[in-house]
Amino acid sequence: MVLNWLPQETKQAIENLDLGLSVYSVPEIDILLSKTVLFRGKKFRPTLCFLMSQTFGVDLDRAQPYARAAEFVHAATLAHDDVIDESPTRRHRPTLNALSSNARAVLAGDLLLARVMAELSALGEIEIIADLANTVEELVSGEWLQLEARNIARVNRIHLETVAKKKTASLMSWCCATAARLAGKSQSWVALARQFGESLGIAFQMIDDIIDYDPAGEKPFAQDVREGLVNFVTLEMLEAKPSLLEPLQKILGAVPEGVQWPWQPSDLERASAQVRARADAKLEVAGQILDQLSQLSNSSPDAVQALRSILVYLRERVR
Amino acid sequence: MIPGIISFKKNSDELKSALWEGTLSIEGQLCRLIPREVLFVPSLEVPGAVGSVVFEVNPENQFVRPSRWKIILQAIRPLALGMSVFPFLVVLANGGWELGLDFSRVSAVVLFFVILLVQVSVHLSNDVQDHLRLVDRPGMVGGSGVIQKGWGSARILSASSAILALSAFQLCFRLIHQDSLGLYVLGAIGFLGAFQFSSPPFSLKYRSWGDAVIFLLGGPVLVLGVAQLLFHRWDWADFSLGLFFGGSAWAFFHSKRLQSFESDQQGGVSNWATLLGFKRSRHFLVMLYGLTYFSLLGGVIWTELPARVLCASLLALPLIFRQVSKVYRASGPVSVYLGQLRSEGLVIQFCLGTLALLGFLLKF
Repeated sequence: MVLNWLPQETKQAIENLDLGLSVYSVPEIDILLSKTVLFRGKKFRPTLCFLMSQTFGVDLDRAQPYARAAEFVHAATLAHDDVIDESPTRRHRPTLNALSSNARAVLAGDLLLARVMAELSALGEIEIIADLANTVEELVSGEWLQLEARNIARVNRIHLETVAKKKTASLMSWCCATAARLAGKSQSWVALARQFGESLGIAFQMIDDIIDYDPAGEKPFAQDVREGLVNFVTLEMLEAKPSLLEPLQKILGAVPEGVQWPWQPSDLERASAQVRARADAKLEVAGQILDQLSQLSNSSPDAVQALRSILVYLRERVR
Repeated sequence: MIPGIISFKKNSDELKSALWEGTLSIEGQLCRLIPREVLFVPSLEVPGAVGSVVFEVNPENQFVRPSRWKIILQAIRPLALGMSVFPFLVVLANGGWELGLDFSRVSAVVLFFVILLVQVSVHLSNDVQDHLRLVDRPGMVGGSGVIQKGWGSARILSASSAILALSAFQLCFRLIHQDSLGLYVLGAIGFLGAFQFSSPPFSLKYRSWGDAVIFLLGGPVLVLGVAQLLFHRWDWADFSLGLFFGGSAWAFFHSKRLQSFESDQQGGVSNWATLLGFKRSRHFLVMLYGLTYFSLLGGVIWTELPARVLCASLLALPLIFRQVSKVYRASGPVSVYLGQLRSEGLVIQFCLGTLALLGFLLKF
């Protein structure tokens, strides 16, 4: 994500974000991680952490360990996800499990989580640590729910929203809530910040699902269907045309070469438009929360503007 | 240009009108509004969240609807009518066929129509109330789907419900020429319970004992009321049948609650599933099916209820076992294994009613 509109302070903080582990006992882990899940990521979660910290008037140096923690947790989930999905590549590079083994990939992910626990414990912010523990639990249960639904076409909306909330939005919510906690704000402000992260995260997932059906997208067309997953767009198509259920169930997770997709282009277009409208609604909620956050006396207008730009960017991504 | 979506603030007059009428005139063109999303924006100034409702806008002249008969059929939910039709037929089979008791055919037909009218009226009223409370939206579990799909408005369904209820009430007066206090009490409970299930002021459905009301109304109250009206008597066999039908109705409703557990919990809805929690709710489902069968067993052992009714109803066990095993396989309330609970529960309830009736009719 090219975020040219980031305040200079934030750009600096992102560039200076140290993602090295210095695992003296097993240096190979450090090398493997730096070549895979920690290699040139978008660092969206640390960015969110920094921007929300500036919105709440928190010094970026103080937010830095938490931004690093967010990126580590995200990287850990990617490492584990690649094992679960048996993915050979990520970001056009071999995955950790492809480069080494499943066992090492799992252990490397565990190490990242352990490092997060150790570093944050030293800072002593118990509520933030407890919150992160709950977030990791949400990430795990989100992945568990998604695994359970693999190769099952009959999925409902609450299931998808819950998975999106747990898998994608929970860590973003934590980043936002952490900023509010560091600023010493009351529970109401923490909840508001958390809700901002949640709305952003769910919109993010919906947009990702729309892009999944973009022939010009980064991933192969209908990659989720190939992986046996029903996403928001697929669900809209199924709700509009229940007759698609049976043909979709046949190809879910086992798409043959030269497949004749069971839906019409108009079905896909309508479904994408519906999901786009729902993503817009979530971004609208995020925008209204941001309006409230911008009223804070020590809020950085540049940071708030950058956050607004993110919302706009996400909207425009699927126009 | 007609927008694709439009939103109104919660509790605003525009929202109330949009929900009630289901249409809005935009730039001189009549448009159909279908609620898609409810947005809650937490606010520091206003306790609770400030919300808005997002509607999908469809120009009326471009809106495609199925035939009127299909819409009516969908609205009345024919499979679910088994909840009141089967108790009636089984009581008739027990009294008229099994015991050979005299009864008025005219009264039986009129009562049958009263029961049908009441249940269809309740279905329609239910759809309206769930829609106005934004419980039923596209993609959510519940309702006939008629309002959700924009095929009918809350106003029309509400009016239809009222007409059917009044018709049922009028027909009922022609039936009651017995001097039985018990019958009047049962009738009052039945009518009040049915029409207060989702309608204000009591709106029993949205309170935790709504499901227990289903057990009573769909079970002992209905069965004993029918027996008293048709045969001027009831016995403990009828009571055990009442528990059987009440149990199966409650099990069906509890299946629905399990399927919508997560959204109910998020929406602050109070029912037996949310009160018990997900894990215990699963055990409760098993208990309800157990009650259903043990009531029949009790009837066979201690009353004149024929054993073949119990034997016939045992044929539904594979379906029940399949449903229950899915519930226990689910990792939590959002598990994909719970996706079909409602329709499976409905099929089970329909099967239990059919099998119980066949158990009476197939005399060897």
